[in-house]
Amino acid sequence: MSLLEIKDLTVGIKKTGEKILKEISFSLHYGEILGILGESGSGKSLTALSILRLLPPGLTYFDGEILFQGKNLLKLKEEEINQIRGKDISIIFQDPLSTLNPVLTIGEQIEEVLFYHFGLKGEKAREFIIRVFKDVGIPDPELRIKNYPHELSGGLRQRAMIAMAIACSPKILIADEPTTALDLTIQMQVLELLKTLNREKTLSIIFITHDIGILRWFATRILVFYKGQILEAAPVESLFKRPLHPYTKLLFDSYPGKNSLSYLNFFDKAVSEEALCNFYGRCPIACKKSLENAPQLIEVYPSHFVRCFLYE
Amino acid sequence: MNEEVLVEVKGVYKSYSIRTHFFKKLSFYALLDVSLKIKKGEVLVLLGESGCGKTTLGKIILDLEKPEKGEVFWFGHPLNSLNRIHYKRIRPKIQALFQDSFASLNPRFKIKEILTEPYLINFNSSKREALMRAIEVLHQVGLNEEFLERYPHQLSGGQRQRVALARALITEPKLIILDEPTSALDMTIQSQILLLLKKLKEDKKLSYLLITHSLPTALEMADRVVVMYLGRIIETFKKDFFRKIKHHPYTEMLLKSFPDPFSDNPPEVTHIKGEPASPLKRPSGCEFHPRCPEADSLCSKERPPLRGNLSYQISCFKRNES
Repeated sequence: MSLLEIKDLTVGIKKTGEKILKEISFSLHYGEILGILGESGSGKSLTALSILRLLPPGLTYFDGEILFQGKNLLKLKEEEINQIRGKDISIIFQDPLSTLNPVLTIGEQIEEVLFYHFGLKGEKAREFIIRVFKDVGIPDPELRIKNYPHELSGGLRQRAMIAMAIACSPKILIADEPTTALDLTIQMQVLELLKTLNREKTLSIIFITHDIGILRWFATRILVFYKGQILEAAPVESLFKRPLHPYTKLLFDSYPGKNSLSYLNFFDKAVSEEALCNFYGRCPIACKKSLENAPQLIEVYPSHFVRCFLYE
Repeated sequence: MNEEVLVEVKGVYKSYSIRTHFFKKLSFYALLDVSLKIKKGEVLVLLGESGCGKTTLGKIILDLEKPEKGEVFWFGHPLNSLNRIHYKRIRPKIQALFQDSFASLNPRFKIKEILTEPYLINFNSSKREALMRAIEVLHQVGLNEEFLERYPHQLSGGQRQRVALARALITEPKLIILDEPTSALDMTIQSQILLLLKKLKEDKKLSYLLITHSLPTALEMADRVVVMYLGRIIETFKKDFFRKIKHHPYTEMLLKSFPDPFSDNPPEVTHIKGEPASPLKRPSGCEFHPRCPEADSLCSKERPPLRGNLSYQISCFKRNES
């Protein structure tokens, strides 16, 4: 059952008409952890922002639908989407220090969310927050509630962010590189927390990262983004057993630590011809077909989709 | 055994102080009794989490920070007794490449100026000659003379890192300190830079001190690995021994919890205890004991010395060095 469905989402620059996200379509199933893998500029963060209608100024929706519980989020009024943000769909970012308000205590910031959505405040809100803090594994919640963001360690700050995001028991959590800035051991602790929340509170998660290792062991399904397009979409096991797209293969092969880098060819050449396949310039095969046609996502194995002419 | 030692660090201590209150200052040790040798032709990796002192050690080796106690030797010469002329002659032989190439390249300089400046200062050459050298090193890092007239902001992250590397190469160094050289880059760009570093090492007989927190990067590049925790070296080993030895409990924790995408074993997370201790509140005894699953009463009282030989050293009561 899909909880969120995105159809042909196309986002771009208002003035020039240049498209940044090109016909992105995917759905988030109930209770799954959907990983979005991509390099910087691939449009993975923009996809996250566009789900919540948080596009940066200058960008606009050209086309598409974002369906959540039968409603198209793109057609909602500002007040209506505000009821969904933070309550049904929450988002956390990489750097909690710049997302949290530095002049309010952690407790005050979460209270604001609770007041907006549930009208909770004072002692009741405090009790609620302490319970959420326990859920996310913050030690001494009674004390931490009075701390300012800068007084917490990186791991605790990210936990506080997660506490704020799940305070209203959302159905979907969008996590945009939530652990990239953290040390390995802390990173794994935060991921474990998200996994527990996913299991126990049936929180569906969209997890955005460039870290292949994390997705391998954390996500259930992966979308590979490249230049605003989905090049491959597959369940984790299938993707790691047989990556299909040349780009996915390149990503996997260029993973350091295997002492195989020396055999790698990056094919980073300048191309003169206009190709309709986004990966053409870096593709070792660079088939001539893509000069005339744009490749479409096709299902090669069960639920394993790829956008490449090699498999047609 | 006639291996040339490029840089040696002997018993180095370094402390910093922070102001916690208007009248109160708190000092803490970033490095404690650190000794290591970097040999010719080797890639030595400093592995550790943030705050373990790996960058501070890099800065001390570069003479950007002075150690409080202990000595640094460049090519056998103790740093604090070098005279100015001698110092100036050795200085260009040790270069650095940092993580954030945007911050380490002057935004008002063209690439041409960025590259020729260190050459002009160090070698007393003509501008023409410096420019020729600049073009030469640009080619070595996979760029070309078209980049000479550009400014840093006109380049991509990977290109900027290549320019920073070219600037390090222009003085013909013997050793380059690489401080998280690829952490800020995209996956495929990362491996391109690592590959370039490997190639340059072979071509120019370079040595590297690679500072990183990334296990895969460490394993890809290292000849020898030095693991640091809270300002101390707790383990060193040759890369060949990586799979053969029983590691320090901290290293073990890192290895077990690392999500390796191509292994069949999922990362183990449940055994991770707590967060890294702060250097402001240094635990007694072995610094790692509050998080160590094997710790006993001895570990909290006494600090295990670093034992072993050049191929394998460890600081733990629960392990023997052979």
